[in-house]
Amino acid sequence: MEEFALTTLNGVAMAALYFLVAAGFSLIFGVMRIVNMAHGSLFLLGGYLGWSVAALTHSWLLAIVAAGAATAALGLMLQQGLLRHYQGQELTEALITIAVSIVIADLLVATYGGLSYQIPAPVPLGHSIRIPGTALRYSSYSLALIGVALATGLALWLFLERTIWGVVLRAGIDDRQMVAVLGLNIQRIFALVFAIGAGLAGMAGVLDGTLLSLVPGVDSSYLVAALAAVIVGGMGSLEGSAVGALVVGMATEFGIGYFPSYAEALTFAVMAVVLVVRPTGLLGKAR
Amino acid sequence: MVESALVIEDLHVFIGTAHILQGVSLTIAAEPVAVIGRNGMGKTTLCDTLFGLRWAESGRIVYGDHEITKIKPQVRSHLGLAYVPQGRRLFPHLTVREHLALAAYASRQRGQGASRVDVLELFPKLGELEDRQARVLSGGEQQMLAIARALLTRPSLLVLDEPSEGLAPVAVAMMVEALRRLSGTGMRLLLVEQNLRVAASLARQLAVMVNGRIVEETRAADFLQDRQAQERLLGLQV
Repeated sequence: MEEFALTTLNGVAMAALYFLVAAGFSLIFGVMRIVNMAHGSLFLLGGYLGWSVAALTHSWLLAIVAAGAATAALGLMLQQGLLRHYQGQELTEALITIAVSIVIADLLVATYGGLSYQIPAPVPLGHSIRIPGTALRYSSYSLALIGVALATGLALWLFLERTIWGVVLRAGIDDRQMVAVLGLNIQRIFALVFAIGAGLAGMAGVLDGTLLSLVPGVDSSYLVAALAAVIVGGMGSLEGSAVGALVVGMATEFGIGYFPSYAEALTFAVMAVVLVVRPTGLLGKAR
Repeated sequence: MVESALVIEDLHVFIGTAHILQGVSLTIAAEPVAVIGRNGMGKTTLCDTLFGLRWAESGRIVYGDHEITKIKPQVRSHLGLAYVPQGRRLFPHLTVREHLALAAYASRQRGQGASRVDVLELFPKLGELEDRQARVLSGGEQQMLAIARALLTRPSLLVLDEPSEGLAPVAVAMMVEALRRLSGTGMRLLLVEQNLRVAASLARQLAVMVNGRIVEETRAADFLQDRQAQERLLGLQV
């Protein structure tokens, strides 16, 4: 029973990370129809940058802010400098993001080598606490991580549903040509979405580097997890990203906990079943 | 107000290798104009090209003092063009209120105050539907919303592509009445229609489009009487 409860908590913690990566990935796809294959690299880059900042300043908070800002800026450059010139050419866009992801990954190996890095958790979260009402102890950092993901999700939801920028963005998901015909500058919205998505990925990298560790290869495994979460939940939907991340996070942790040999297969089995039953994802909008 | 008319000169547009518009020339001044023609003659391509959703291979589009042939869609909106496209193209998952807020925001962005009251006066029904998503509205309600959305950007020329398509007769009558009122306030209208009766009830001038060209410009009253011309140009069996 305790093992089950812990596995569930681990699943939710993984889901929190997956959500932060998947939400940005899904928004970028939803608005721009770009499958950003560099999303995992932005995640890992954020993690390493965060490690460096934390090593220099001994401030975890500064590390996550710096990593988020740096990856947001890089995402903006990627969108404005490269992708903007190839809008609507989906294959070209995909190839550009693959190229960028390879360049980033190689630069990271060149800079940081193949070693594994861990970012020290902020001091108040460095130990485990007892979950009220149970005998269970669990990492306070993981609990905080879940809180961060919930807060981010809520902030994104408020932004999308309660602000005029959110209305413009959702209109862009439905029909970006008509947004331009109404006289709105859709390019500014694209830039904003790309920056938000990339920044979230970078911040998630720091969170992951604190929870687990940073090594080459983590970028592609998070990219695949985010892709699976978005496919399960439904492309372009924030709620879908949350549900998809939860499903994939649970599948990952229960797979590792109960039948480790088939852990990865479980995630994709779940994805395949969802695709058969609901091709647009659990919360996907029919188009 | 002839000085700020829309002038289309020898417009050629290709979709892939298909030569869809083969030298369209047309002028819209103060009076409403209707372009009529059968399906597949290039009417929607003409509208899309006016709004920068398709690019012209050659030819010119001039609105007022500005050549707009090669400028971005959003700038065309700033110059006073508004589009009610075929099939309405509303944002299916946005509510009526969000549609109106979005268009009003677009207008505010360039420092023009937009008032929602105007469109709610024109279409009072929309006020009762504010929390509905566009996808659950009836065809007539969707058309009202599409026109309201366009009007909130404060246009001086409204282009409507097949506005009567798929609407019940009573909804068509309501829409025609609303467009008449708009035309009366000095709004320029370019109407693209398959339905000759609707076209003629709004525009005194008709332009007949056949195979990517305007082949005839005529008074609507004359064309309505001329069964032979209708059959020859529209293939109508009246």
